[in-house]
Amino acid sequence: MFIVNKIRSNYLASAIIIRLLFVVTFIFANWQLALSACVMVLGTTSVAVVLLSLAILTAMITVLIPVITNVLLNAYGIHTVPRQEYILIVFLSFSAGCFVNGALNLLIMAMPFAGSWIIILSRFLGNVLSWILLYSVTSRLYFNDANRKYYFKGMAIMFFVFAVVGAFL
Amino acid sequence: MKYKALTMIVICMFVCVVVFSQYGAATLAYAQSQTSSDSSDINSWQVLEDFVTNNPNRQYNTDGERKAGDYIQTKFTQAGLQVNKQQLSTDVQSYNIIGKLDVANTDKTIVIGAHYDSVGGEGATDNGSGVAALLVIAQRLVAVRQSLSVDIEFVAFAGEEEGLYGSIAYCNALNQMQKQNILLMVNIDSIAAGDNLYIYGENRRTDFVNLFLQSAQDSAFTLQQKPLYKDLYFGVDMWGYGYYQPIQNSDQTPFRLNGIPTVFFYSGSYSNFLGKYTESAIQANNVMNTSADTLQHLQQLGTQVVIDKIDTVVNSVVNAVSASNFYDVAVNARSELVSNAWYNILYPTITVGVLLIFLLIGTLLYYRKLDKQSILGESKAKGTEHKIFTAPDAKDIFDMDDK
Repeated sequence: MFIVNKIRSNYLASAIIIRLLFVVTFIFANWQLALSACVMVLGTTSVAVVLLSLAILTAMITVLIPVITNVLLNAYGIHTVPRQEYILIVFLSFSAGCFVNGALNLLIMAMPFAGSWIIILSRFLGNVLSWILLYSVTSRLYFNDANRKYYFKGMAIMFFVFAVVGAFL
Repeated sequence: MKYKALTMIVICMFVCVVVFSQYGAATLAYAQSQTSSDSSDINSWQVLEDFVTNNPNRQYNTDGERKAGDYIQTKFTQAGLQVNKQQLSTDVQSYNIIGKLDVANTDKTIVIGAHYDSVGGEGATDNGSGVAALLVIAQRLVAVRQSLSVDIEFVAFAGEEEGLYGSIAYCNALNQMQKQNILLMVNIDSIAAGDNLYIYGENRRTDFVNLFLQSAQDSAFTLQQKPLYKDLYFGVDMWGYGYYQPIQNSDQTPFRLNGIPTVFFYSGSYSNFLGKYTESAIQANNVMNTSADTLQHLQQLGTQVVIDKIDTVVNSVVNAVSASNFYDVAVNARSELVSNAWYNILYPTITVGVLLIFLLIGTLLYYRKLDKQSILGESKAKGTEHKIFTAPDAKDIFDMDDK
């Protein structure tokens, strides 16, 4: 709630800082993937190419997250939440997930023989953490006992859709 | 007296004939044994020097490459192989040279390959050294063909430096049955100039890698497995290893992508700060694909060292392929690939699937709890008040104490 109060006290600054935080944590979680893709395509490591590809990817996702959030809220008929604030909480939640994902990926340095296990499980755990955080914060802020179950139902469906897509495709 | 002398002369001549014929037979046997043992005493430096000197320019789709191909074709034929040329595509005059050694009543084959094209310099190490090893291996395996359990195709690939064109063309020409029948592909690339001599098979030690390592144990140079945890890139997986490894970019790659187990011999070093592959820890000795890749450079490194490296690879391949258990190990290599893919990709994915099922169960239980809260809670949401009086049943009411 402390962070939510901070967001409400200065929305513009919060919006910029939270988006920057998301960019940093997203890069932290995906730099190995970008490096791998760079080596595969170019045959060598190029820091500039890795950063550029991550910047483009992050920019696309930063634009896509508000769009997808709005579409889903409209689809579920949730019109009572403050959209901009809600989107910032989405960014915050997924920043936390990306941070955990990136931190777990660092285990590869110590246990490279379990590289694929770490990559797959850390992505899954990061996702779960993001959705739990998002639900627990927003359900308390914007929903009551009566309508929380409908919100949870929608969140659960979207989580399983994203989790299945992320894990098996 | 005359008769006695004549008889003595005849006896002496007879003895001489017998002795000399025995000596001649012994000499012939000795010569034959020398010929067969010569095949294991071939001077690999001379083979390398002869190939590179006669074919110093071997760029893809040039007269130089074609001349080198003709040279290898001649050598394969002299070794006793059935040779044919495979054109890479109709729009280039570039050829794989394939020498076949049919040895047993089997349709199983292994491919031993090295590319013969080059870029820069004379291509002495990249890949004159591999071609020299291939030619020596061919001669030695022909000499021990009775002990072989599989057919062998010796393939000198063209167009590797341009993008593995030769090995891709070779694999594309295989039908499904032929792919199934290739038990193993052995690739030899740039083995002369790097600091260390490596073998790479999988992301962990497998039976066939162990067999090749054991087969080189008594050699003059140390053959070692590629350090498993160096120069790896995670997150992208192309071969079921669970990671991407750039050293894969040689002629074994198309075979691996077709599900054929591979063994890769190369030289180099992983001793730099980041543990990435380089040819040598000494910057000046990184000559691969440069104009400095010459016989003169190899001479500066030491002719004997180069001979030792090539002979180590030759010994490893010849001893392994002619080993009594080679057939079983090669057949098992495919199942090791499959188990590798299971371990790296399928098991963690299944684990995530199981976790998702537990999460789904937890989600349903939590939803049930929320459902009860929505009925019995202190909700003041407009339009939902009536639920408090209409929906609850006796079970919900008595369960409340448990929460």
